Amino acid sequence: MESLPVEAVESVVLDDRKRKDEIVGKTVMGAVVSLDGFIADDNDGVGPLFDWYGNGDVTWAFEGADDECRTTQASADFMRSQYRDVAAVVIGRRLFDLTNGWNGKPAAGEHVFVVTHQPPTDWEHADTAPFTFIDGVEKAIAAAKEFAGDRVATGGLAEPLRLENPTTIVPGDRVTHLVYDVSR
Amino acid sequence: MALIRLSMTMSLDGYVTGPQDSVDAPMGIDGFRLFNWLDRRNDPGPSGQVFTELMSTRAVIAGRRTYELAGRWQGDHHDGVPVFVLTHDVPDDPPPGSVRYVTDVRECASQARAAAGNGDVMVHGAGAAQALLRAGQLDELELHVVPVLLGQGRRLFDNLPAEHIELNLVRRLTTPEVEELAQHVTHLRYRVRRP
Repeated sequence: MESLPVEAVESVVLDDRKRKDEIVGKTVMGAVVSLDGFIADDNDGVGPLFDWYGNGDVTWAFEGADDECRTTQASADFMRSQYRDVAAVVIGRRLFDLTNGWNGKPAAGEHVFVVTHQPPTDWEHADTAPFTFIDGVEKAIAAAKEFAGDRVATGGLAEPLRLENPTTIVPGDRVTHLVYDVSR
Repeated sequence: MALIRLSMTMSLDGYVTGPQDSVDAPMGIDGFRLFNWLDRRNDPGPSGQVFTELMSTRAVIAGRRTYELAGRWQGDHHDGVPVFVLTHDVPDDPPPGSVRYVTDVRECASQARAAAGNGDVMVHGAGAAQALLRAGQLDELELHVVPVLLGQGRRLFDNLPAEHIELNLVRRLTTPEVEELAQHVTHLRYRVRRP
């Protein structure tokens, strides 16, 4: 049983300038999600959801991260272009705790804004890490946007969402990258 | 052998109806938003192609809830093809038209495959989809993914065990940009991987 060959799936990647115009100063939500809408199992394991980060032959890494990814060329190109302009990241307290704040190194971007009502008091990287703890998601998004300037903040505000056709569709191996614009 | 293929319209967040669906409001509150793409069903383009394929299937499997909410299709879903309605509780009155009631999901699948001959079987409804997935009898999923987050509603992939069901993307069709926003949809066809 075969998947559709990669070349048979048209890949729509916006050219750089158009993309830049469209994402400047924007807030982008990113997630790896199963078709039925899960981002982890009951034990917070990602299981096969992250297979695509390691099943290809192109090696790359997020800026400043220790771990390398090995993906298909298509996924590598997509991820690098998608995250290149990301300046700030907004996460919740749960993800922060699960990853121990990525040990003080932002998984993407330069600065992480953590939404929490109770900042950790005993985090070993608190003095050195580019992390800010903020009480409230609106405030965190605002701070991230200010930090990002004309670059991109990733995270997301839960508003009633109307989307459009995906602006970008990239076929990978065991993953399809879809980018939707939110219309307001 | 005939393929059993689910056809369901789903919001990007996985709902097939809006909230509070009922007999009076089968699609729940504002759930008919999901069906805007069907306005294009008779036009050239991806949505027309997909709809034509649906109408070319040679048998239908439906869950009882979908069947009743659809007014039993007056006994004919399309072209008089056999309609197998999966139900725990067979109605007393005889089934209309080409409808048959089946209580066992495997029996339902094998009857539908036999009836479809060289054609394929279309599956309607979240309940039927879940029962077939649990029984390992669903071959493909054609999901009409609408770019909207409904937030609440009836989930397509509910009531499933924790075991993974691996899928291969075999086709993707997206409506052209020029079409009206409300009619945007991405038709994703996945094949269920067998171990």
